[in-house]
Amino acid sequence: MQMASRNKVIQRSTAPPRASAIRPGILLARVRAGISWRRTAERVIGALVGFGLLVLAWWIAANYLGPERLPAPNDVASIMFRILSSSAALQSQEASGGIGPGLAYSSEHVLLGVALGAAIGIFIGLMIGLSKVANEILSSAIEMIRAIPPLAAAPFFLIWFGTSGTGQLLLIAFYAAVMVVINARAAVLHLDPVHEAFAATLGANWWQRVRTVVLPAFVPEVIGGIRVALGFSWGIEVVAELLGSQQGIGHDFVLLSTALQVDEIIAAIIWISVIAAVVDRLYLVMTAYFTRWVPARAQ
Amino acid sequence: MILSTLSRYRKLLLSFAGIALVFGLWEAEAYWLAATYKYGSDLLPTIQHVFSISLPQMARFGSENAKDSFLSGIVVLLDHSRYTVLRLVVGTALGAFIGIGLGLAISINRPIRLVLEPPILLVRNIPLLALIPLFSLWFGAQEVGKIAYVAFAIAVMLVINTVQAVANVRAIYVNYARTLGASAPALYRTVIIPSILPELLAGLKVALGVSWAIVLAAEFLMANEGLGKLLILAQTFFDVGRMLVIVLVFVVYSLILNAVFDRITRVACKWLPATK
Repeated sequence: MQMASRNKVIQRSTAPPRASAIRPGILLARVRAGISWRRTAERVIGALVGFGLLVLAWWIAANYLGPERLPAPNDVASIMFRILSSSAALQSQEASGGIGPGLAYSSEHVLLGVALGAAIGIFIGLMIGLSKVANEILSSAIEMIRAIPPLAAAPFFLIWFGTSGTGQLLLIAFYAAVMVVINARAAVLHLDPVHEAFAATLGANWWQRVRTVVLPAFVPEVIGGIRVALGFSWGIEVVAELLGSQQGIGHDFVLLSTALQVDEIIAAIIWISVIAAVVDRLYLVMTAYFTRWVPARAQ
Repeated sequence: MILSTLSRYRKLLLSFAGIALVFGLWEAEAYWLAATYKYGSDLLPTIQHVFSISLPQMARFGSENAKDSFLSGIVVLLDHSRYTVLRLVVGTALGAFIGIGLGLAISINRPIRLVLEPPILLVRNIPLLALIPLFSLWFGAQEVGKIAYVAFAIAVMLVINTVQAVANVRAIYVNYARTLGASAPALYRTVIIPSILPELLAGLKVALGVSWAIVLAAEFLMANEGLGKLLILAQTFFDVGRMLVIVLVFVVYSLILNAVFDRITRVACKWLPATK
């Protein structure tokens, strides 16, 4: 009984899904607690039942709505791999027969756009973090710019930079930069000035204060901001391409919609989701190193 | 005392400098573009052009042969705002109701949580804006489609937020209440719901930002009215001035909505110890 409750507490403390939660020490403790196998089995069975229910619900809804509105899950599953290289609706319109090239094009834009935006955002964020005056001047400007819904900026970027790709790329960069700056600013605001004053009292010079006080507060928040931007950018890219692009998965969506290919649209959405999820997990693994010192649950 | 008043003035002055910086850069860029390129003023009109010419021109979106005037321009903006705000508020409220309700239901019972959480987390992986081709095929320009889209997005976000908030309630509070003999409904009413409220409201605020994006995407691609539709209409005319008017309206609305929301949060979380 006591063992069970202790195990529960341990599990609770790892609850938030963040990079730093993956710590071998905790896994080891759970294995030593001895009951983890039963819990793992419960989790796996629960998940399997859950996914089963999801597919069942989809299947029932598909039977009810009919294939031209919602195709059955097995019909979508059967075209998942074929659609990457060949789709009747796309073949009649453009040379590349499937959604593969479109997915690659859009993914490249998202990754490049977020990388560019993150670089700009980190630069402005550091300025805010290091200079009080910069923080106060830029705060009101940032509050105003963040009130612009990211998609409302889309038509501007498409007019200014064209629909051939640059517009979409810079739109994502803009969004990512705003996201990073907002998070960086939150880190600075939440940082108790006592810490920096204390470090200064102990004789830390400017660089030592930045390295040991400001940056540790800064890095996890910025990494979190980039992750949010990365997650949301996939949708922004799709909508920006739907508004007028001759390439990319958004353009493929236009063609598939005109041809009323619901099954292929669903398959394409699943592919984007898979790519977005894989990129997200890769990002977590890559950034885990920088936040390895952050406790599993910041309290 | 004097010192704090002084620093408040300094703060006000600096934040004013920030806003002036944004508008100053806009104005400078507009003049530079107009001087450098032949059609530069089309790319970015000056601030006075936006207010004195583009705002009255909004009237043209109302009816074909309307005369440009401030009044009819503002009437057109308000008329289309009606649709946008209604979609946003109704969709968000519906989604919040479903999402938080489902989240609480899932949290009550561990077996239910084990079964329902994984498929919801899976659905959460879908980039919400990527669903627009599907919703647009299913509903076309029907009103219910846009509201359903917003509600779906908000519900998916808030279910997970609620489940995590409940999981984050410190076990000692729950155990203590149970030791004192609290029943499940009493436990929810007196311990769990009050302690998840701040996290829930924070999640709702994030969701509100996403609502804006969803409503805009839906209006861009599957609507005949609303501010998003106006923005796209102005874009097809290459009229950056009128686009800027609409974006400024967005900024005003989202600032108002955020202020209202912060106010509600402050009242609802009055009992919390101040963090700052």
